[in-house]
Amino acid sequence: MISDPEHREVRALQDTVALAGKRVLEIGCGDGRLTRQYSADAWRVTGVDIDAAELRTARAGTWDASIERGGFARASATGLPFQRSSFEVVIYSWSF
Amino acid sequence: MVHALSEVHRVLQDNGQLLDLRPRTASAPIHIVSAREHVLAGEAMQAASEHVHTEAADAALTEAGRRGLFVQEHEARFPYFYFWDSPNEMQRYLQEEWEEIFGISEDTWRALRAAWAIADGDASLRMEINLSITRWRKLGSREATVARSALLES
Repeated sequence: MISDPEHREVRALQDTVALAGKRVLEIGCGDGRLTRQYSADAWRVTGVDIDAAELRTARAGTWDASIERGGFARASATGLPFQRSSFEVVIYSWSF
Repeated sequence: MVHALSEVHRVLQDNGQLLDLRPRTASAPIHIVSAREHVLAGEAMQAASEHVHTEAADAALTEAGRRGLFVQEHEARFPYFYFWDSPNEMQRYLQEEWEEIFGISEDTWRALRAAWAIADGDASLRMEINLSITRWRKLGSREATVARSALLES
């Protein structure tokens, strides 16, 4: 299976928000499929998901500096392990 | 859902942006596509439970806007495509990954396989899902106070 070979999703994301210099939280990052496509645009990217297996796949990848600053964490959207006002952008990815 | 939005509101700084990216599709057309032609072969239907999730999310976001937590700034929709090399591969994927999300009737599978049998050698199966991307902005404390006051007065 191949999904979104034309990268429409990340282009829509990039058309909708400017990520340069931003601290980004992606809720529902899964295996990092979308994260990988935009992470280089941001200053720091943190991905969270409740699925441990998906997160293992995400962590096994090779990532750029923005992910090295942020990383991946197992967390639910209803209990985010971050302090108040930690991010300029939150991406709710296929999770509502 | 409301609790999740409260959490997003907490971790976002004032004027920070929330992007809501999700499928909005009751049915997903399936085409057999090749260099020569695109043939509509059927459609997958979204499960009723997914409609409920979508409506609950919409209601929660609307309520968050009404309470002055966020203001919607932008919305766009675009197609998102999945490709498979054969009906068998597609059926396996749907059963393993999307059993509770999309369903395809037996009649549709039969029609799809019949169309596939006469398809070009370079053909693949393409399912189209409609995605929406919505940008919300967390209101600063002064704006939120004004919005809440307006809500109380209404």
